[in-house]
Amino acid sequence: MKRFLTHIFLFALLLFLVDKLFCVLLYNTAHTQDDQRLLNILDGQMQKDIILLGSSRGAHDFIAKTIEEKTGQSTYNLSYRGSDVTFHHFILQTLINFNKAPKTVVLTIDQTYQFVDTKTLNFRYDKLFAVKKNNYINSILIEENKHSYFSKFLCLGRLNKNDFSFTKQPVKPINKLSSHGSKIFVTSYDATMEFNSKLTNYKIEAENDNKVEAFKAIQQLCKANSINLVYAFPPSFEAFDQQFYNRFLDLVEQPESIFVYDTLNQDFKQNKYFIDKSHLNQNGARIFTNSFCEFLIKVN
Amino acid sequence: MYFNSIDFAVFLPIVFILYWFVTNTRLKFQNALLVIASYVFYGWWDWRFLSLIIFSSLVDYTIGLQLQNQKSQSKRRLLLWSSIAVNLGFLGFFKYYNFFVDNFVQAFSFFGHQIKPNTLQIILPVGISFYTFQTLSYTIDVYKKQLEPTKDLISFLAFVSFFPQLVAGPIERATHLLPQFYKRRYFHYSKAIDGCKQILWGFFKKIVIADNCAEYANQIFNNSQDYNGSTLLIGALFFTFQIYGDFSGYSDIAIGTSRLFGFDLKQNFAFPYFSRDIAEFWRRWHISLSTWFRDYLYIPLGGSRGSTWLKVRNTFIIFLVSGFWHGANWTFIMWGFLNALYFLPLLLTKRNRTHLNVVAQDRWLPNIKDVFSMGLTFGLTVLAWIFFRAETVCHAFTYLKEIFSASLLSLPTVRPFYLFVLLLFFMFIEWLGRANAYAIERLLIRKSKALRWSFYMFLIVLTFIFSSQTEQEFIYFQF
Repeated sequence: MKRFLTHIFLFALLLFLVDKLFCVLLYNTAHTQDDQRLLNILDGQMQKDIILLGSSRGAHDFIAKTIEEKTGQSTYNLSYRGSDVTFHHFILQTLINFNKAPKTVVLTIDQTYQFVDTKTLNFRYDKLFAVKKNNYINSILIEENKHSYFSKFLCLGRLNKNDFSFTKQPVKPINKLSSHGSKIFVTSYDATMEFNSKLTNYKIEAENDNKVEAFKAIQQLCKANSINLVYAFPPSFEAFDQQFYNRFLDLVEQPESIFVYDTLNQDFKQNKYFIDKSHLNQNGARIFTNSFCEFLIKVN
Repeated sequence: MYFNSIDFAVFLPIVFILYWFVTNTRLKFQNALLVIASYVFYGWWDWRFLSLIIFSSLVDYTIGLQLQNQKSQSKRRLLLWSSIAVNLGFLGFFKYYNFFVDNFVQAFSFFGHQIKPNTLQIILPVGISFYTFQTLSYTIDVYKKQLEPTKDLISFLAFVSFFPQLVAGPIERATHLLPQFYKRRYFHYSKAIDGCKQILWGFFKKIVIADNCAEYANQIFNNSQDYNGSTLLIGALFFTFQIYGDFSGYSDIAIGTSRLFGFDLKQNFAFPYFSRDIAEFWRRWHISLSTWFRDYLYIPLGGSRGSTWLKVRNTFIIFLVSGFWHGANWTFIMWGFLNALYFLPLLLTKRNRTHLNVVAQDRWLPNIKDVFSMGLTFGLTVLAWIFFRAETVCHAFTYLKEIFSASLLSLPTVRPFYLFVLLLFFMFIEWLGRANAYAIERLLIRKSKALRWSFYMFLIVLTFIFSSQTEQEFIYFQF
């Protein structure tokens, strides 16, 4: 038995040492990513006055640099394409944990899709995998059953086959980050696209409770950290969903902080300002951001 | 509790320490510890179903004792049938109730009668097919006077619930496993090391081979309408390796774990994909189940003796029952039927025992004839697995139809290069170790310890790197 235990111990020790050689891959993974925003948050380098949170609508429709110039407050866009409100909550929580709390958080609302399950809006685990070297992130991945408990003490537990790529993946133009974190589409647009004026029925029963809870948690988090929370509805190339808006009002504690794009503005009914039904192009984003800045200055 | 979970990684060392350092003074204590550990292991999944195992164990324990005291043959037979009725009753209710109800409803509606189905929301207790067959083997052996019934309840409870093989086999015979609980176990370094090696290889098969193949097999089978013939063939190949890696991996972990506690379980897989005909395949695949059916069903039915008709009948019975054992779905029955069709020509031409040795024994490479035979057998097996994996029989036929279409000649749209490399590496190691109980049993045994340890380390690193993001359930848990 003594011999067996000695050999098992020696083997485990050797494994522990070999494991440490693989830690370098974790650093490689984090630094081959084009999007370093989460890494910057974790490193405490996201000390901004205004933070924008949201999905692709937040990323494409707000020009953070313009907001910074107009308000005179440092601004950064932390919106992630394809992310849902649970992910926005995670970003805000992480931001506060590792940085000084911002003065203002702008939460982009995905209208009808804000609280329901869709294939396109999810918790972006892939963004967490990119920075899994960080213990805080790893703990979350363990909690979510995405990493095994071994990853707490073994680098190998955090690695997978995708970490063996040493080249930077080419970035699609749609994902290109600006200096302030926004992803602005160039001025191209689909000339055949027509405005959808159909009204849809919003169903509260289709909502995902986790998403509603995450939305409430964002409000609580802002309240606890004295952050001014602003809700923003960017334009879509379709009719404004009033039924969802009414439901949204039920969940909001400070309705005076809601900014809805000017639904009567004829610009937002012209396809030349949209890249598709949900996203503005550069010109559209410029018009929208300007009007949003006026509101922001007023409420601040 | 899954073997590939952190729970098991904590559970196993605790039980190991208690077993060898705390309860080692008395055999009864060690057996009692194994019973408790086994119930914890099973109850971790759902403690409510522990009552089923305990009840089943007590029934067979009592019947075993009564069989010994009973001289009247008719009463003995009644006792045997009571055990069969209780055990198969549980199995039938939990596993097949809804299947029969659904099929009755469909049959009635076919003849124009609409009846309201009364199906139940039944959870299938994990491992019920395995431990039911294990306890049944005890009662049948006692009935046949091949085994003395045990008076030691703790040993019997431990035999039925022995945690390494409780939920997915190997299905042990009472004649082999039960006596091991009567004898004092001593710790042997070589046995324990051998167990660790087999556990390692089992994890490699499960995590690296099966789980990675599962990712693509699921993608292709679940969206088969979107893929061309060559991709569907790749999907079937991946499932072929998935099921082998998954199930034989589990068996390796079970056998290796048992060795850590001083027990020897029977080999359950003997490199079946190197078989030269279907008869050999069935001597090498899920050996504990095949031999169970052979001894308790095929031979009592007359086996391969008697008229040609009897041989055909018995062959179909055993393969159809084997298919149905796997699950309450016509796809499994079709899988069994197909294997019976493969097997029958060999039986009728008396060539079912041609290949009893290891392929290319004492040689590095097989000859051309062996390569052809292995390729043909493997191909037939892959086709049969399509029925096993498909959602419905209709799905399987559509899948096959697309494989045998012109699109088979087009380039596959799913080509995970890394997985092909892993499979080649896996099959290479399996080929090297094909004469042993498991592939790495004697691999590098004559080389230096440093080289051996480096190889084991390499397997561990691969296992970590190619592990899936989430725990994957073992396929055979559902049977």
